[in-house]
Amino acid sequence: MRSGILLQRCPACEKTWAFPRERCPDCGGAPESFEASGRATLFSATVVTRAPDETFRALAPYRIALADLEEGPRIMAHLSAEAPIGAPLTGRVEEIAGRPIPLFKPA
Amino acid sequence: MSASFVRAATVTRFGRIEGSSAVSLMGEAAQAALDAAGMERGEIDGLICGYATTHPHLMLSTVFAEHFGIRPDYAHAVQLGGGTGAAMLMVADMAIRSGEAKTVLVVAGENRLTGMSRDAAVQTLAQVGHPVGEAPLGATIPAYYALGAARYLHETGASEADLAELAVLMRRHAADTPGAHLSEPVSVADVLASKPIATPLKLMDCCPISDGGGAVILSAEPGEGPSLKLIGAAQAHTHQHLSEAPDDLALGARMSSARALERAGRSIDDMGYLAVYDSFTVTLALLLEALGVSAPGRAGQDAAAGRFGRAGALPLNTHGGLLSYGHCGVAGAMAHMAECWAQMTGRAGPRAIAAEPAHAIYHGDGGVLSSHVTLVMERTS
Repeated sequence: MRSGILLQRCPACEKTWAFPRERCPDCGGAPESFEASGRATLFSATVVTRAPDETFRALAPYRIALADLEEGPRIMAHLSAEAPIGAPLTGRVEEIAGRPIPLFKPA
Repeated sequence: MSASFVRAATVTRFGRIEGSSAVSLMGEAAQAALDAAGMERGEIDGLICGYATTHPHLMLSTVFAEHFGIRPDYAHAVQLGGGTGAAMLMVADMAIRSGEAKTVLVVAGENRLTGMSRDAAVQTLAQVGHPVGEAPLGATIPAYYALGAARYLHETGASEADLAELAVLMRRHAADTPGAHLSEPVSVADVLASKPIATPLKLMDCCPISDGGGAVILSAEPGEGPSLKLIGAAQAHTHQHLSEAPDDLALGARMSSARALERAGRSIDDMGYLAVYDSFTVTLALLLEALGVSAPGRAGQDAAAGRFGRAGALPLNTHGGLLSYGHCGVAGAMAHMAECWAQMTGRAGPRAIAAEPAHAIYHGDGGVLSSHVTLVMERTS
């Protein structure tokens, strides 16, 4: 299954990252985009009760996580259920609050 | 070798100040600083100001200069989130040591509580997060720090009750400080039972949103009586967004404090007063541990043991910090400097600390432990 989580890598120096950039932040090379597998490890998570606006107040409480993708980059995502730090996760982009957001669940 | 001295550091009261504006709060703080220093407007030849989310402007320094009635030879604003207060002092010190200015007014103020809705403040601050990869997820500043806090508790074995000790200490200090936003004493149990915000952080782990202003006058001359001399300053910027932060989230604090202390020719053990940024309890714990004040995971227990009280070995934020004196943006962290100046120069009155330390350290951070500024100061008589 496709994850829909897009990453970038630099063919010249092999650095891999998640935030969209025009150039490699290490060597300045031209990056290429690729799709992550969706396999990750939980670095940290929080249950948000105090949401920033009406859209997210309707979803609260919701879990936000930092997920370490197996390709290297760490991304912020939603998490479907409680999981301990270090737990294996799988995730893909889903529509949450009317926008595409990576959603992970315990593997 | 030229140097700069703190001639005055003052803050307004923090909290709900109806009818205030960014510029009015800046002016109130600046006038108080001039009065405390016994100086006139005409003696100010340099102006460094912060930013105000309630008064976004291309040229806030000259807006304020005109309004307040000064015509500086050198002026600009600085934007570094919570690190701005310390960064303004660092650049003012550079201006003085280079000879570009002799007397610099450093000032900030913001009506962040009454000037915008609470939702607007939460949303404005959340933009510290990445515009594609973080903020659109419904994340907030407390959520970013909560992710850091969950990891901190996991790695160090510290407990939520340990973090709560830092909130209790700041409230105890604020209870004796005129002008504090929050002054009613709280217990560890109160902090643990307060409203959930983003686990593991509860309402009382978070600083309030306040109105307020702060000002510091830095001069090439020490003036009469005891003063504070800047003897070392340094910055470190490791990331902007939490997603790209180093695993060691407070790495920048280790870097900037090590360099500032090296420049001062001092070690952290020489410091007798601590002024440390405390937007959340976990911010304070991470910074105290990164500065080398507390062992990993021990900051809360050090607080509980009385180490950081007014009578303790290493008094910390004796005005109550952001957590209780309040947080009005840039001026929030200037209150740490105002209290540091008062304590180090014998001006704290009934709040005076037991010891008379020769050195103090002031550390600010902006973003999500992203930007760090450390200043080391020495008391001169």
